Amino acid sequence: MTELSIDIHLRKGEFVLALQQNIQLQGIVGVYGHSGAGKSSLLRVIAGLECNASGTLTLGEQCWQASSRHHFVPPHQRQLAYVFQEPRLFSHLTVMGNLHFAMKRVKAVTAMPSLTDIVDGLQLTPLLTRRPATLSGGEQQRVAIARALLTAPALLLMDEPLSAIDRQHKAELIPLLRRINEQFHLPIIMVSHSADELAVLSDQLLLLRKGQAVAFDNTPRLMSRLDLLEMSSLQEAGAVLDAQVDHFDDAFQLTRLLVEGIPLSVPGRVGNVGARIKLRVHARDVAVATEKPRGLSIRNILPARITMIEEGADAHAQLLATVGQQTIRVRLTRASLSELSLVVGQSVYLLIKAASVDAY
Amino acid sequence: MNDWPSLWLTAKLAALTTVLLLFMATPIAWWLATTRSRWATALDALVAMPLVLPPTVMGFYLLLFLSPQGALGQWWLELTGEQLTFSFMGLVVASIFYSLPFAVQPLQASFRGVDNQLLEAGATLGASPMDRFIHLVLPLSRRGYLTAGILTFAHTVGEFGVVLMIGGNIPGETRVVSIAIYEAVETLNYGAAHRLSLVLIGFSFLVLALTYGVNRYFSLLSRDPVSHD
Repeated sequence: MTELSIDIHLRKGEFVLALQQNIQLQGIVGVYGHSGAGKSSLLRVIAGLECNASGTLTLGEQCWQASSRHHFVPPHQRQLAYVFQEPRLFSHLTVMGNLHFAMKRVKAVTAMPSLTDIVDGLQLTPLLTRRPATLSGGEQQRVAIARALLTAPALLLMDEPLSAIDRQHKAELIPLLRRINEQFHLPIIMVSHSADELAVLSDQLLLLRKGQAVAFDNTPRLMSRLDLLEMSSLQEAGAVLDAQVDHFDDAFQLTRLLVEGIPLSVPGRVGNVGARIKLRVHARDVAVATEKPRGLSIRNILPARITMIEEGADAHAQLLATVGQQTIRVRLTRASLSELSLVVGQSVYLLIKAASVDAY
Repeated sequence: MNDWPSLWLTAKLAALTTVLLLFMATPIAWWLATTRSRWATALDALVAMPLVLPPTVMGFYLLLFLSPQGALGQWWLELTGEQLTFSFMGLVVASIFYSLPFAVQPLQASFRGVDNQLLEAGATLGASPMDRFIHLVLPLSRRGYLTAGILTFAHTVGEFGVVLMIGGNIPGETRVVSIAIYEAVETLNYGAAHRLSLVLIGFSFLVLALTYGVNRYFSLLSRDPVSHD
């Protein structure tokens, strides 16, 4: 496993990025933070596009920057690829021309899927002879992703890669990124302002605030931290569960999943039988019961144990409860908390509305 | 009087000047478009000087510079055994100086218009600075090269004062169309003056129409309708 070691200082007017972080590049590393936290600047520093940055930067054995000994590897010699927030396609070339541009300058660090694989995976076949100006924003971004992958880099940087892509293509693109990440061992660092996206896509999460690293941990653990302000939107949103597709119920049009061996149903057909998927459960859509309830329209009932309780200053409180190895977040009123006399360590039942589960 | 030698000479001079100048103006324009040096303003002004100076001023100093006693003239004499003043090559050198702004300025504007974001993308795809210049900057500046080429060619055809001062009026060597017209008028050969003048008027009109046409074509191209499917 490669380690990316960052010790960087960058001043841009009022803004200062000062970051010391070692990242084991495993899976997809998400970078999250409010706008102006320095997410994009961090990617630009890694790529060598900020020539005013000082400090050291190493990827595995390769030292990309060491200001103390005036060492700076220019961007074109760093074995990485960068998917920018904007597609940045070359307007004088066709889509195929853009892809060829990348293939001619292949970094060939890792084995990569073939051109056909990538073109099929991103559904670019009908676009190949067209000019970038005639494509929609989402189509352009898919071409940009293909172009970056075709250089066969050692590291892929992505800045909000999915923001321009519509829901349908996103659903196809996310598994493709996962597959490339796993099958070809290509580490990905992905910046996003969307907590939802990172919650389901990233394995590790780096949280930036005002140009500094506030926290770095694996995604579920970081998301369950109640002391991080930035996580509040995630917490509002909820938790992500690993699940396995068990079977489809054609009569009622439900997909039955297993979470830690416990059945849970979601509407419609989701994934393929046996596939591992991620589920998003919104904190506000989870209710707590101290006894197993009966005669209820809610079908998903998970036994859990309370691990943390935090009371807010307003009417609400949050609690974390574990189901096996996984954590679910619950939002309830402080009044309910007190009425049920909930305490840490207590066994409870979590009631989840089927409709509140997004499956990816 | 045969018009062809002077027409042919003019075309040859303008074509050679244009080709050489596009090569020479490229690094100057690129430097001016990208540098943050405080010397850039001075070079900007220097490049634009031929636009405001009377041709006689340029012609006077070029005459000294190209003469067998001048720096370039002496070097050329030692190299080729020929004089630069009152020769075709002398006219080429003078035209390069005289038409410099017509090549540099459109290129500079064009280079400045190349989106730096695309160059960054090129860099992350593994393209070195030279690679980026050849495969991104140049093709993205096609319009600038076309405009610079047309304007340089046309401006060299229209040159008179400088040519007269350093080239004189040697048939087949330095007698370009504008000089030939001058001579025809001086010798009251109005027929020849009319013929050559009409050729230049027609040519100038065509060149300007071509320039505007090129600009119109490119701005229509960049306004391609965006399809969503």
